[in-house]
Amino acid sequence: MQTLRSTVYIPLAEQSHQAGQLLEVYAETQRFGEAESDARAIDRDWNIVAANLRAASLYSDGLHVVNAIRKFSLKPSRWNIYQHFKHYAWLDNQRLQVGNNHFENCEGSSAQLGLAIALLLNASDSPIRYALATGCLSTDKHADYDIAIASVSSVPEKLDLLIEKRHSNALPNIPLYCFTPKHYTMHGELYPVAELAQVKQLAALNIEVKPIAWLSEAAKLLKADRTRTLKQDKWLGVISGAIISLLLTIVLYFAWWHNPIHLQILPGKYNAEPFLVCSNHDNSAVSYHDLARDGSMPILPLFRTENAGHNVSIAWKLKPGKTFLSSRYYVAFIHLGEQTGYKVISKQPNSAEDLTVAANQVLEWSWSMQEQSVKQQDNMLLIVLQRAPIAADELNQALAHRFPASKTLNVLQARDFLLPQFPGSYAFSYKSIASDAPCIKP
Amino acid sequence: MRKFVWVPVINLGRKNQGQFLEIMSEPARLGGVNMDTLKNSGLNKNITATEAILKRLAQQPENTNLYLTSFLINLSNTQGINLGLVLASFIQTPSCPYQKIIVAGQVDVAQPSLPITASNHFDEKVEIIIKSGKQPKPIPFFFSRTLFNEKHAPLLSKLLALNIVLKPIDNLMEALSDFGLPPGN
Repeated sequence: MQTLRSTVYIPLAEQSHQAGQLLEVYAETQRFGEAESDARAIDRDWNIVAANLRAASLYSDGLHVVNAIRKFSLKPSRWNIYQHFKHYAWLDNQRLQVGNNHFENCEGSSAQLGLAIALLLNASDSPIRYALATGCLSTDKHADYDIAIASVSSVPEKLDLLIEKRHSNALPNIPLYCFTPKHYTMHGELYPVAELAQVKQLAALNIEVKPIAWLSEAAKLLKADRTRTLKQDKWLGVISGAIISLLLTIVLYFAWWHNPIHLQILPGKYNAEPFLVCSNHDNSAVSYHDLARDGSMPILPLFRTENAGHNVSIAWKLKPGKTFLSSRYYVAFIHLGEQTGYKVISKQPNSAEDLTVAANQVLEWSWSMQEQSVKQQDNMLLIVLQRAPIAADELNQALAHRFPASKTLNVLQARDFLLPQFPGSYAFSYKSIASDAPCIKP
Repeated sequence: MRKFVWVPVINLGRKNQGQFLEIMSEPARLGGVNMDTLKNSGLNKNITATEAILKRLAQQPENTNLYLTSFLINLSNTQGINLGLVLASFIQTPSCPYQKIIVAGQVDVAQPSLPITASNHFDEKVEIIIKSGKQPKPIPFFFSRTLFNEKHAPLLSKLLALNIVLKPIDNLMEALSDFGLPPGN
């Protein structure tokens, strides 16, 4: 796999024993295969970023650069989570290398600026991959978040070398920046680089010489504003994204699950509430009656035995609304009677199938009151709608445990026990009272 | 908050190449005082000595990461760095009012009171401070009180004009008290 690499060419001035040449240094992101060389460096207390420079005798300069550039505050983007925890990952993940290994004895400190720019280019989101540089990092000037650039000697000769290398196509054929200190030294005196004739000659060759006093000036030109996204950031981003997505899904699921289902109770005659149904045994006559009231309490009359020739029921009509991603609901009817106890209906009559109702459809249901031998009691009807089947057996067990059949059922306590389990349920209180009147008036 | 300790150091091989050894201190989430990156710069002995001094103190520093951001290679005598490292360990103490300090002196670990003894090449080190020019904000300069005498007065008086605040100290606790740590540390 191709790793990202940023290369800086450093002109070396002619020395007594060799002609001036270009030193190629580059920074690249740590590869998995380098664990062995890293382990060796750590074992010997070498700095892992600069350790590979030892072969070219540039380790001391590399170490100085790595130490100094830590002050340069490159900020990660907010999405690079790993770098928010490991502040200098942008630096510690870099490896400095020398490209042309035939340089075995580089002297002087003019490679320092080049090494710093290679690190800066590769660590940042700069679109630039190549640069030229000569200069050293100052140990005299100090800033909290920047690094001063100190003068070096032989800058005119080094720029001459760059002109020669440009003509011989030894440099990448693209516009290049060449970073230098503001001044160069000659015979102990300082001279401004910007006034050198070579600066204009290089400009004509698409190489822009940029004398700088601080490293931040180079960073600005190179658009090295923020740190690059590291592979650790990507992995952590994927893992964090997956966790956040999972949590969001769970939250949305629960929000959807507990989103109340709109339930409309339709009138039997006039009032939108359960009602009384009277019919002959042969269903020759059926009449719907609103429940009478004792104050505000609905009254269900329990008729005399002589009127048992009629079918008498409490009935209701319900119509659930449509909710997001739900078109059919499971239904349970729970009747709570002070003396008759509780009764849970969640299955179709004479069938093991769950009782269901589609959205916007009307479900009619009735309970025959003939079986009621109790003359007077408080009652409550709960109509429960859910998106999942209602576990009637478990509900019966819970009710049996909580409200033993041997005792009178406290209807309100039973309601308070059930409603939190079935939020949004419809609860209807009524009182059943013995009546002498016939169900169907003659 | 990023803070700095400057330790003037002399390269004995090239005496005119004195400079500040700059220790950068940053608050950390965990781990006490982390000096791992200093090992790369050949300061293992200083780390060991500093850790030994820190263990002798009753009060421990905040979680801090220490880095060397500027140093002179091939220092022949690094004894004077220990005081800088100890104070850099404590400079993140919330009560410490300083963002930057200058330190020159040696901690005498043989004495229970950890006195600060005279720094070698003190005059040259003061010259390094003078060479750095006038500071935009006052910077305290901690050094052994034994050097706060008539002999060094002319040299030290130059520092006052450069916004350097003289802080002669007898022992390490005196410096830590100046950081706002309770006495008797």
